[in-house]
Amino acid sequence: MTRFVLTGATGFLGSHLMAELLRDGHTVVALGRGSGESGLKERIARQLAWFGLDSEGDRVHCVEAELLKPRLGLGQAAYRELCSHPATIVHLASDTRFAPANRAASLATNVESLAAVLDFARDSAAPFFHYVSTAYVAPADCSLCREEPVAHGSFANIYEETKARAELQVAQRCRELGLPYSILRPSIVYGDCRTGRSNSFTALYHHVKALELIRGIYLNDLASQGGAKSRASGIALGPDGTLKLPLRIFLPRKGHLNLIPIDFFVAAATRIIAAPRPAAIYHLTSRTPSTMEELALFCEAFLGIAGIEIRYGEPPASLRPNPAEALFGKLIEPYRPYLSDTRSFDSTNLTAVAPGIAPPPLSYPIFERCMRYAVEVNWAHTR
Amino acid sequence: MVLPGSAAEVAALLRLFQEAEISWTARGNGSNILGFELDEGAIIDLNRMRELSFDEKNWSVRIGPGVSAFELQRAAFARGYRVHVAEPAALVVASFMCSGILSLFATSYGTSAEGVLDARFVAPDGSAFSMNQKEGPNLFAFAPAPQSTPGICVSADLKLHPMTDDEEGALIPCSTLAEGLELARELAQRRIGFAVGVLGIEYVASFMSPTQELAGEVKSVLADSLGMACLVLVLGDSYAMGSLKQMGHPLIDQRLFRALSLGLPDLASAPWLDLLPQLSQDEPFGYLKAEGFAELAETALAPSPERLAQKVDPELREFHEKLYARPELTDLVWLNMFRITSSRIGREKHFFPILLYLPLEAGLIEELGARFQAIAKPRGIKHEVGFVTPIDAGKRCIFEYDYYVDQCDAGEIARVREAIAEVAAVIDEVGARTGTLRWMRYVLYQGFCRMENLLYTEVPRG
Ligand SMILES: Cc1cc2nc3c(=O)[nH]c(=O)nc-3n(C[C@H](O)[C@H](O)[C@H](O)COP(=O)(O)OP(=O)(O)OC[C@H]3O[C@@H](n4cnc5c(N)ncnc54)[C@H](O)[C@@H]3O)c2cc1C
Ligand SMILES: NC(=O)c1ccc[n+]([C@@H]2O[C@H](COP(=O)([O-])OP(=O)(O)OC[C@H]3O[C@@H](n4cnc5c(N)ncnc54)[C@H](OP(=O)(O)O)[C@@H]3O)[C@@H](O)[C@H]2O)c1
Repeated sequence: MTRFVLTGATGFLGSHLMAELLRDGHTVVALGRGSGESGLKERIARQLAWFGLDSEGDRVHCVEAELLKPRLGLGQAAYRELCSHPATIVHLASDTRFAPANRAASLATNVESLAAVLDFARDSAAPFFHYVSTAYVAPADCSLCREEPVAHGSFANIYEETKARAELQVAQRCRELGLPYSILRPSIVYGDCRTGRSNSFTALYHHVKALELIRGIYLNDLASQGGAKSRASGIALGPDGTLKLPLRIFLPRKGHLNLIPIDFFVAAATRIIAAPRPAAIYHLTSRTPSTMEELALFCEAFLGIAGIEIRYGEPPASLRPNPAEALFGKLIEPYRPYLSDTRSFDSTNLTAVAPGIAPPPLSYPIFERCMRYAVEVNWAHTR
Repeated sequence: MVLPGSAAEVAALLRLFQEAEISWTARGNGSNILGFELDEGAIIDLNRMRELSFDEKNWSVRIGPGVSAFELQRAAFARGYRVHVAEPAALVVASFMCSGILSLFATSYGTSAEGVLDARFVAPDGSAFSMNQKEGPNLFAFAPAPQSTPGICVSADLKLHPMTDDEEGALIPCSTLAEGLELARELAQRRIGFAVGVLGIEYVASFMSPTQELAGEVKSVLADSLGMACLVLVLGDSYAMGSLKQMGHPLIDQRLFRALSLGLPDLASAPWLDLLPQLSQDEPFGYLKAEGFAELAETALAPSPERLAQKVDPELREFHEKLYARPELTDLVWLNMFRITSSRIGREKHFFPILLYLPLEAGLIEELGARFQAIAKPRGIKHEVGFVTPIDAGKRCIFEYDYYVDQCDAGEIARVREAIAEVAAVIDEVGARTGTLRWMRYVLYQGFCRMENLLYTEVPRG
């Protein structure tokens, strides 16, 4: 039985990792912030309940902390107590928003907080430090990205930029401290491919959710308001009940979306953690990324719509998007760079520690299972 | 109760009352919220004095003390001007006597004497004086202490303001009050828009909704489902609207506001509503920037006067259909210049406004708001931020925080009285600490004071 300190345990990846570590009989210290009405303990309990792990509560310790403050914002005694039990640290806490307006918050959470977190690793004599980064720290123009330290490059958003800066800082500071570390770089994570379950509905789900919203508005217009507005945008109901929803998505180039299920992330991460290799970097990515055309077909089939068109190149100057296209375009704006991504990822290091563990290609049955679950729970995050 | 018809009759009355030692109180429409228009002795009701004459070459309109805000604005508007008035039923002169004019237009039209060219009075001894005379009472002065009435105002010359033909309104939602305050300050400082105000959600919901029930639903949609802490209302010309967009703010523009107003019945039940904030976590309210969002809202809500009228009592439906078929009822500029904005507040319960002039600093306003809340909450008093309007290029603002009280509930009245005493102590304490707070309580009978005297003249500390 090993003791782990996790940051980000209230989040999507963190909660799944926490649950798996508990199932394996380990002890977990969740280090996180109190938020608004509910404290950390309550939020962790909510996550555990979702995993059906209520009874494992005695092996979870919640420590409300402020990652941006020296000594994690804890009093002397509380900090000393926390440091007195050396534990492997898995640092997942991150601001995962992309918008430039969140620059200051992203820098603070993703980069500046490392100072206190790594001080804590030193003060508690942590045996190992695992940093969860993202596959997208690699430059966008790199066709085959290696499991190597980041090169400076241009980034699609503040998230990628701060994660890349964080990787460099982790590596440098850990070397100075003589603290063994590894870096895990997942691509884009969706729910459990076997059960469809998820407790977070961003990324892949975001697009389906946006389409569902738009579909709902027009179905209602056609069903109960005469549908004049729908017809004006060329939206109509087909004889088989399919909603014809013309939606042109313009992308600069053909690319693919690298998606992995959360169960693969957990399986790979636990292997890495079980046999830690100092200074190793791992790509937790798919070898069979999905094309936009595939995903568009999946969405159409799942939502009973037709008319999504992926077009490549600049939108014509004369293009007047209909309101549905305009809203969809706006809602998926943060994700746009990922829709025409051409990077592929080498995962030699991962294969070495976790042979035989690979994510399945995202098939329609998996997609449908995951989306059906999301709709069933009405896209309700547990956070 | 006497109803004089002229300044001479007012003078004769005041002389008579002085000789006979009869106390008196002036009365306008009797609707000020603090009850200063009823007292022992005679009530001098000024409703018969309804002079209304324009001197356009001097950008001036003369009014008698019986002219209401609505009458005056309507007459000015018909000639292509705007005046600065309070809620429609208030008599304009009474508003000056009582509090000065409080509205979002204070951003560009200022407050207190800023709106006045001259005013004529009859003093308690029956003698006449005007503001624009070398000798006589100095109504331009302001003292931070209770005052007695300078007499009866028998006519006032108010400023006419020009309008342009491209005026529009927009609401900018904010996730925190501090964000809204900072935006309002910036707009005032940059002089973008001629009327700016940060509106609390209760305020906006009451303003938009024809019934109390609907107001409750709207409040929950805006605050809980969409995550709005406040909305910044901006009125301006097309250049101001262009600037707002250029600054990158998500806007509820005039068209969307109309769709929301007339589509309120479907808003609360819209199944897609919860998804919107989830889909815009990166940029709250970013969806408002999608071209055609207003059209999408029209598709979703099917807004129409008939639809909205379904929500009122059956016997009122026909009236509401006709009413909301008028474009004014969803026109942000019109609704604000006639101050309909505030006229629906207090529909559920009487409201007691705590009104302050102070620097437009989020920290200070949040501190006061939190303390007013802490006073109200344990006493079970309903309490909400009303509005904040920048004045004088954002150097100062008007801040209204409202307590709500059921006037038929003696217990609640007692609790509110007790709460107000605590509020007074907080205002005194913060006022002494900062030296920049002015409480509206002291503006009674000083509403004609020079704006700068009110806002900036050093108040004795401690
Ligand atoms: C729902 C609601 C919304 C409101 N919204 C606003 C708003 O948006 N902006 C704003 O500025 N105010 C607002 N008010 C406040 C209201 O406009 C003022 O209190 C206004 O003074 C009321 O006008 P009245 O004619 O009813 O005055 P009254 O209540 O009749 O009189 C007000 C005071 O003035 C004195 N007075 C009246 N006439 C004269 C005179 N000719 N000479 C000397 N003294 C006189 C009276 O003795 C009394 O002390 C609102 C009030 C309500 C109830
Ligand atoms: N999800 C993906 O597809 C994906 C892909 C690649 C990499 N990753 C990486 O995996 C990690 C976890 O991602 P996720 O998807 O699980 O994210 P998530 O669901 O958004 O969770 C983020 C976690 O970080 C915590 N956090 C955020 N800001 C914080 C702060 N200032 N102080 C303390 N804690 C803070 C959150 O705590 P609160 O609950 O208090 O907000 C939450 O526990 C991140 O490092 C991310 O970069 C994720």
